[in-house]
Amino acid sequence: MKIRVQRWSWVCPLILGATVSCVGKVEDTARPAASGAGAGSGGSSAGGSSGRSAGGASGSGTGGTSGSGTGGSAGTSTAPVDCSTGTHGAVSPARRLTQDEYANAVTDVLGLEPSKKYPGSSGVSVTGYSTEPVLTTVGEQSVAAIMSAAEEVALALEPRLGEVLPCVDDGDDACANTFLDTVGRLAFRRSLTDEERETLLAIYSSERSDDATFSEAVAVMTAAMLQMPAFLYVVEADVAAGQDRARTGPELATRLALHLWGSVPDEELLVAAEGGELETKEAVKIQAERLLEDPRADRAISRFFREWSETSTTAVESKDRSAFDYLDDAMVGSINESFDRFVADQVRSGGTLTTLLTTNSTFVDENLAEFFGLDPVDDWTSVMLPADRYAGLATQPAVLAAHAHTVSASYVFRGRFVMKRLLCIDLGSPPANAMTAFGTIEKPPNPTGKETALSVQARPDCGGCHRIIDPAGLAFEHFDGMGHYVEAYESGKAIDPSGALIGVADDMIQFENPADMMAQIAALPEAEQCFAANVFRYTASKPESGDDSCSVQMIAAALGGSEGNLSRALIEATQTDGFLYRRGE
Amino acid sequence: MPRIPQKVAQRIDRRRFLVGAGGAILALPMLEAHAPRVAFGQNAAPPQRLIVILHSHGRVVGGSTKNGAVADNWSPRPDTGPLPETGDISPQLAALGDIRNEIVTIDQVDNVVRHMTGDADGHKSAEFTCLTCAVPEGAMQHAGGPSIDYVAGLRLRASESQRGNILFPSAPVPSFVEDSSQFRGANGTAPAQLKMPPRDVAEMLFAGVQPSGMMAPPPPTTKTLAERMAARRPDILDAVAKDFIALEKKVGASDRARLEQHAEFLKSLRTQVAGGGGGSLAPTEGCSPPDLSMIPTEADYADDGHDWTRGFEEAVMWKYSMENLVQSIACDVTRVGGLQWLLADAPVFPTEFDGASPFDGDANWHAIIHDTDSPSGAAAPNLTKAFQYYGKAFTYLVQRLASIADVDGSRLLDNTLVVWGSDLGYGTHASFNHPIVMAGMGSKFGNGQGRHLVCEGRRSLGDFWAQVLRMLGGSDTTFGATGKVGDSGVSGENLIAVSGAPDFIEMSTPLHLGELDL
Repeated sequence: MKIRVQRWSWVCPLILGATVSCVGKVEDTARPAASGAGAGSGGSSAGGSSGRSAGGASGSGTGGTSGSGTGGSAGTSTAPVDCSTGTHGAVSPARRLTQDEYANAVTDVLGLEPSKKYPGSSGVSVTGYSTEPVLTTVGEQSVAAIMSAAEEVALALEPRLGEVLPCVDDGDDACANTFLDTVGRLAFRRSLTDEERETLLAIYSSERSDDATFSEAVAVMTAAMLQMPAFLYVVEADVAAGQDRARTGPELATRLALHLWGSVPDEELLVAAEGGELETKEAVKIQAERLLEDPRADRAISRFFREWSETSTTAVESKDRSAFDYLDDAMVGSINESFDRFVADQVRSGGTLTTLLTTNSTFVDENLAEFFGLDPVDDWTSVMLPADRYAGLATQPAVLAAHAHTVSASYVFRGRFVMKRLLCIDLGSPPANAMTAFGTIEKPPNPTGKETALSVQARPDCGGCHRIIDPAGLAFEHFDGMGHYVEAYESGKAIDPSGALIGVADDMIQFENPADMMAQIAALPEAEQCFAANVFRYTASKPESGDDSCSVQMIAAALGGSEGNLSRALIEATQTDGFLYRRGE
Repeated sequence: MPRIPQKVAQRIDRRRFLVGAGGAILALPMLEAHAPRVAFGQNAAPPQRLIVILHSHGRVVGGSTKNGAVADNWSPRPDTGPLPETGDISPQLAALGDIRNEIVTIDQVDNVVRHMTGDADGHKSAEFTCLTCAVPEGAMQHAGGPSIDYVAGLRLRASESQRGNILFPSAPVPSFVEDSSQFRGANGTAPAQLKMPPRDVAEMLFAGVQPSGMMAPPPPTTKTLAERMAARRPDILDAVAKDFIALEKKVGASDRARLEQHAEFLKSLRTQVAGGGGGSLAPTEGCSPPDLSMIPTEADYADDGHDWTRGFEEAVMWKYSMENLVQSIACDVTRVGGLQWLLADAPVFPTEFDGASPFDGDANWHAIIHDTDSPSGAAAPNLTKAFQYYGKAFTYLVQRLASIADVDGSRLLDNTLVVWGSDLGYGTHASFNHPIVMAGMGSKFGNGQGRHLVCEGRRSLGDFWAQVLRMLGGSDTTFGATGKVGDSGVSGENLIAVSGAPDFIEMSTPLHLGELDL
């Protein structure tokens, strides 16, 4: 558990995001019968899967370094997949609920504050999304923590049991069964099996025989229920290797709720699932649209966009407050809430990938109005910021702060963010001696970002990657380590945010400022393709490979057919074969 | 953008106050307060124990020697021989002067397995391998095997109901902090790590543990709900494990493995809770669970959300974590403990500098270490000074163990092997010349203690940890991966890419080279 802030990585030679090579169209109304593995396997990976989002070293000053590192690997590049025939399900390893999902489930099912003891993630994510199975692998301590969390929730439930179990005053065995039929069913995302019911009622009965009150016995039973695999794991019955099977109603309901709520299904969705009403794509879509309209979807929207943009809620919190004397807990909360409001508004108000990346509107409260130099406001308000300075997601203070050092800006981190997360150009890990090499590079006194970048790029083993990474990051040099706009460097030197991107769109993108750059990036097919790939990775909990290209292509097509509508992309993810069909390993 | 300056000033004052207050509390005669050193003769042979302390960035200073020669401020002398009888042992080990006769320092031990990864990342591959000596798996996503503390813990525990090993944090850890990469559990999974403030750790570990000479209170006549759940844990864990096993039959191979792993840990946890949460099996005379009222609560130090990354909280709290570690050994809650210094990026070591810390800036601890690959580097004096923080803590630990009487009247230190190491050899990411200090269990050192060992012909961490297991009664000749570097399929190009890959680590380099002449 080493604490190292802002570790990042990339690799040379440049690995460009491969385009998905699907052909044909994907049926869009009825769910076809499951088939084999379709017309061959393989396909390509949008963006490859080489880089890890953590790693490397933090640097000093406004730069940081990279160099001619090695390692990493591109996405597989094999024969194109014919998406027009058969089904193209996704291999979906079992995974444990993430900390967020556990918390949301406890809140939604029991109406309680979640326990903070439930174990978080551990390990390194390939995709950057918390839903990857490897991140929630258990160890000795995490199994003990799951037990402690379950007991803590059960303790909190006992005095409030009547709020979720109206028959509590009856206090009889029938009411205990009712608890399992209602609360238990929601927690397990399906009706309990006879064996599960028998197991849990045995615990309840033992407690009752030991003079426990009804609510105490139900609470102890709940502690057991919250440790059972049906609650903790997203796990599905197997199918023969290479074969697809249509997911069952409850399996789809679970995936819908996790995808769009970051939680478990509600009663309406479960009724549809267990009543066989999710057997058509249209029915799945209707439920997806309902879920996305529900306020609970804000949690999942925030999670997706935060993980896509690598903007954790702790990024702002962990800044060195001695360097930003205006930063207190209230400001931290304001910056994070502004991000959440921004992305939720984009999804809910018909926002497109273009508006997401280019709009100069944002949300401010009293703290942020002062931060942006605006007139005071009393409550959260939508405002327009100077259009030549601010450009959507990338100039959200939370994002700029996340891609910076603890006390200062970093054009390298920001450039890497644009390349890797917005364009799926992942340069992998920097060489391990990057920081040492950076220290040996001669730079002019009080260098500007561009001067530092030019010095680094002049070194052959650094320039290969930095010429690609740096320009996009240098566009944001007007923003300090907290994303606050500054007119000039502390040295008094002027800031020049103009530049040209290399390795993108045939090197044709030249820009005057970040807004100009983001407008051109938003118009690129690569940006649309990259966003589609990220929606898939988030939803499927894995990097795409083989037939998954068909699912990615469907999402991209939905984006393309709707002028980049964000909600369409999130809904379309539920219409893909990867979502609807499980493929055997 | 000036804003609410009064609040900022108040926060800083409070932080300074806390450090000062913590220092005052810790300046109290803690040893006397906690450790009745009463020599008493009993016939029972004391159990053997292991403590592993780990800091980051290796020797901190130095690292440019490709031939493996030592050039740093850490090494006491260039050859094997006694430690200096007077004066500083070395600039960086100056704080160990009072325990010089209890320790052995070691040079020229390399993390050979790390070079098998070919991974260019400066830290992760080193972290995953330094205590496991196993090749990481899943595209460098997780460690490839258990760490030494886990392996030793399974062997040394009295029964399955005793905790095999416990990993203590150096400071209160926010829940979002990822698990240790260095200390790992079965198959390289997340470790048995206590991510909670020292007060909560003490409350959990020592519940039901009575200080020596005191009788346990009678069981309560009426149960609270919490007591009901605690009593029902074995039944619940049995039932849940059974449910996992039933589900395993319905899923594919990889999912089955995942569920099996969960079920196995449930069984392990079940045996622990059946034993009373680990319990206290063979407490020493010095078993004296920490007084909870003396440990600062979260409300005392958590006025800022971020300070812990700079080390102000840690500087106050580490002794409480250390005392939990010592007492968990003294009370036989576990026989293997680990303590990891958590802050590797931007600690400022407030206790080591009067006034402003030289590391309290943008060029932080981590970055400065990177740039100091020579003892003559401009930052070397400050790095060496800051390093005393770790040395003082190690000395405190050794003295604390020496102050407690074991079950046979010997010192707890005499039956506890203590190893202080790092995940790197040098802060330049080099994985050779790992700094190692050993203490305790003096009878197992054939050449005695108070000595510096330079391993002629070099040795690997696999050799070292295998020898540790032998000192604890095992017959191991290897630890972790076996074979040679090239067995992993690493390419020559990637081997070189591992930062600081020295000239003497090649494809043909074996992972085990022989015994250390301890």
